[in-house]
Amino acid sequence: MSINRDTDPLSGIDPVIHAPARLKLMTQLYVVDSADATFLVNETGLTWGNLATHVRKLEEHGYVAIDKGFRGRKPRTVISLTDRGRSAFQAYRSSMQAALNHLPE
Amino acid sequence: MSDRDLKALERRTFRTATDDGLWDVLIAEAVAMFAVIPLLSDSLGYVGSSAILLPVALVTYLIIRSVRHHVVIPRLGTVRVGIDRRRRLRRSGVALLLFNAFASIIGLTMALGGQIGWVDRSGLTYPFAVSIIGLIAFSLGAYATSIPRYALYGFLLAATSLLGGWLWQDDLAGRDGYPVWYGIVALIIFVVGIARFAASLRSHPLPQDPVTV
Repeated sequence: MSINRDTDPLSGIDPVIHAPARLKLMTQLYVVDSADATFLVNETGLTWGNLATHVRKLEEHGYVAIDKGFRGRKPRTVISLTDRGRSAFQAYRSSMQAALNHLPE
Repeated sequence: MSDRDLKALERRTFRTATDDGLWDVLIAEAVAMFAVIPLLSDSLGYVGSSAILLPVALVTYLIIRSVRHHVVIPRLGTVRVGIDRRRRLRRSGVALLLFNAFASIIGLTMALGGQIGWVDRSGLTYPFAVSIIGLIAFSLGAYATSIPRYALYGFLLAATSLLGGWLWQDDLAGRDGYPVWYGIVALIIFVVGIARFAASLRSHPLPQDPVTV
C-alpha cells in the first residue's frame, strides 16, 4: 500500500515534540508560565541529564527559552515555552487528534 | 490530550507547587486564635487579647515563609502559574478582601453594639453570621486554589461557630463553648497540615548534584 504524503495524517506530527520525554516537558510547560529545572525533574520523572538534553533540543528549535540565574548562591534555571513553542504544541495536538480520528475502527 | 486533561494537569501542577501543608498550619493558627481570644478576653478584653495574638500570627506567617523558602522550595522547585490561574487568584483575593472588610465592619458593629447594649449578642445570630462568613471565605479559597480541603475547613468552622454558640446559649459549657470547639478544629487542621508537609518532604527529597541545564 503506498503512502500518500499529502493525505497521511501522521506526516503532520512534529517529531521534535513527539518524543515521549519532550512531550512530557512541553505538556508540563504548556499549563504554566514557567518552571524551574527542579520542578520539571520532579514532575516529569526525567533524570537531570535527560532533562538537560531534551531542553536543549527544544531550545534549538525555538520552542523553549532558558533563563539562568541564581537563587541565593545556588544556580537556578527557569524554562518557559516561547510563543513559537506554544503554537507548535497546539499544532501538535491538532495533528495527533487528526491522526487518531483517521485510525480504522 | 484534551482541554479537560490540560486543565486537570494545571490544577495538579498548582497543587503540587503550593499545597505543602504549611498554609494549613497558618489556618490552624488563625482558628486557634478564635479559641484563645475568649479565654484572654476576661482579663485583657477582646481588643487587648487581639493585640497580643496578632503579632503571634505575624511571627507564624514569617516562620512558614522561611520554612517554605529554605526547606520546601529546594526540594519541589518553583513554578510561575499561567495567566488564567493568576487571574483567578487575583479575583478571589479581591473578593476575599472586600468580604473581610464587610465582615470586619459587621464584627466591630456587633462588638461595640454589644458593649453599649445596642446589639443583643445572645442567641445564635452572631455565631450564624460567623458561620456564613467562614463558609464563604473558605469556599472562595478552595475555588481560587483548587484545593477542596479548604471548603471542608469552612464547613468545620461553620459547624463550630453554631455549636459553640448553642453550648453557650444553653449553659452547657462553662465558657461560651468556642475555646473547646475552635481548639479541636484548629488541632484537626494543624495535624492535616503537618501530615501533608511530612508527605511532601518524603516524596520530594533534596536533589542530588543537579546538572546545569
